[in-house]
Amino acid sequence: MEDPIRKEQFQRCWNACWHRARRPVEGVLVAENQANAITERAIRNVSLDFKNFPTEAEFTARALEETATATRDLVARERSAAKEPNLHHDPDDRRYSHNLDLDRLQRRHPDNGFSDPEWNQLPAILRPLALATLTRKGIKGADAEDVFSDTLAELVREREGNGHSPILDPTVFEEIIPLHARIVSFRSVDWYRRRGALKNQPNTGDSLEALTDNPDHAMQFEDHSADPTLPTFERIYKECREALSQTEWELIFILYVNQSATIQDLIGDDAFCAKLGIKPNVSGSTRRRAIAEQVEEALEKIRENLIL
Amino acid sequence: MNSDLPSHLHSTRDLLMGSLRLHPEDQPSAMPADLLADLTDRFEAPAPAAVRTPSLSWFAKIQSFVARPAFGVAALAVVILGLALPSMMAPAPVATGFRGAATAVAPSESVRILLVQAPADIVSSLENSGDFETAAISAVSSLPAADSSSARVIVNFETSEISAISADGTVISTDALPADPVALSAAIATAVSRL
Repeated sequence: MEDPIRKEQFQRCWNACWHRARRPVEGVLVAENQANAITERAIRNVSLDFKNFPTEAEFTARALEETATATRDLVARERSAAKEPNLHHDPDDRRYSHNLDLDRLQRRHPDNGFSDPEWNQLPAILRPLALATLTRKGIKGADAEDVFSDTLAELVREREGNGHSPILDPTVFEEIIPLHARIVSFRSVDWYRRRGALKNQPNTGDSLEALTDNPDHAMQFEDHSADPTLPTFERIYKECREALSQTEWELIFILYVNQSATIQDLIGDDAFCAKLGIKPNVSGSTRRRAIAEQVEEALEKIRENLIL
Repeated sequence: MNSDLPSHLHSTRDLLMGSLRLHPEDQPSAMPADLLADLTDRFEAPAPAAVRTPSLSWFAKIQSFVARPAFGVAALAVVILGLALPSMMAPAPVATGFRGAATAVAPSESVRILLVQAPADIVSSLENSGDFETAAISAVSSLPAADSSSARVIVNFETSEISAISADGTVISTDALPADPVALSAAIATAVSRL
């Protein structure tokens, strides 16, 4: 028997994956026909991994991850083949003038390291974005320039353990922007820490606590809604998967990720309430309270487990 | 959205709300119908209709059990194995009456079960089934070797036949081997019963 709810879930998954295929990274824009093909392939691939339908949250997270990876790979492959770094670049992206050749940026000379002339253009692209962020954090002038220089060095510094430089992480050039933004954020915290230790006096700008302890991370980004450094759902799911039960994921996914139902809707859904362990004969207000408690608990778990 | 959330959870909620990164200017293409159909088929395969078995009284259950053909065959085999075979294969009574002091059974007095070209696992399962005396079972490679002067049942896997042959060589019956190996014991018991 066909389940109309399941069909709606497939449709929502398709929509989410299609958006991800169209814009896998902020600044990348893939043609609709290619987005269609990638989305279909990704969903088919993921469906083969499950004998029974998992939760909508898990299925969507896996499909989104598959879609984003496939799209980034496609864009990188086509750019490399055409030697055209701006292929699939969103023309409406005004954050910087043009893409650089990521293949050349990632080319490492055995003796000279990352020394391709393409690197000469990178500071001009990253500097305005970094200085805007640093200014908001209260780091200005020469201090901001110093921090910015550190962040460039950080891009090529080999990580302890795997010896892998951060510049080798991106698949497409646009991923360097959020990567660098994260480095800028960490370096600004280091700057405050160093300054506090050297001067042994209260900070005059934004405090270190404001940067490190504020769960909202409110000062780090200019535009919160479009912040490319914030995690996607597939990343949130991957990092917090074990912390939440399947029912908690379903609850969070419906209410906040997909926003396909409100708490009021769930109060009236006997089957879902039963799934949450709410007794059938209790009043609406009791149901509301029980759902709210479970929502808070699930959000708390995500907050504790998500590495921002 | 839950507006009553504690303030420290607002950022986590907002993070989740924007985590699908749906672009307001993009209108998704329609989901291909064949994809939707395939997914529906894959995850919505109809479960087989539940068969409701009427509840039976214990008397009706016993009646039903006894009425099964397999019960008749099994009962027959039990009778044969319990009464006929021991009488044919048992040693002649000795004066002392002590067990274990019996003389060898004369071949002509026993029914032998000859398995021709039988798979090893079937020989083993028959020997271990407890349905027949192990000593009565012989696995042979070809029919001539299966020739015997005593009453015998020949289970020929080469020709897929099971034959009951009396001591004087008369073929009493020949049947096809059952397709189901599980039914082999019952078929052999039936053949033995005809001798």
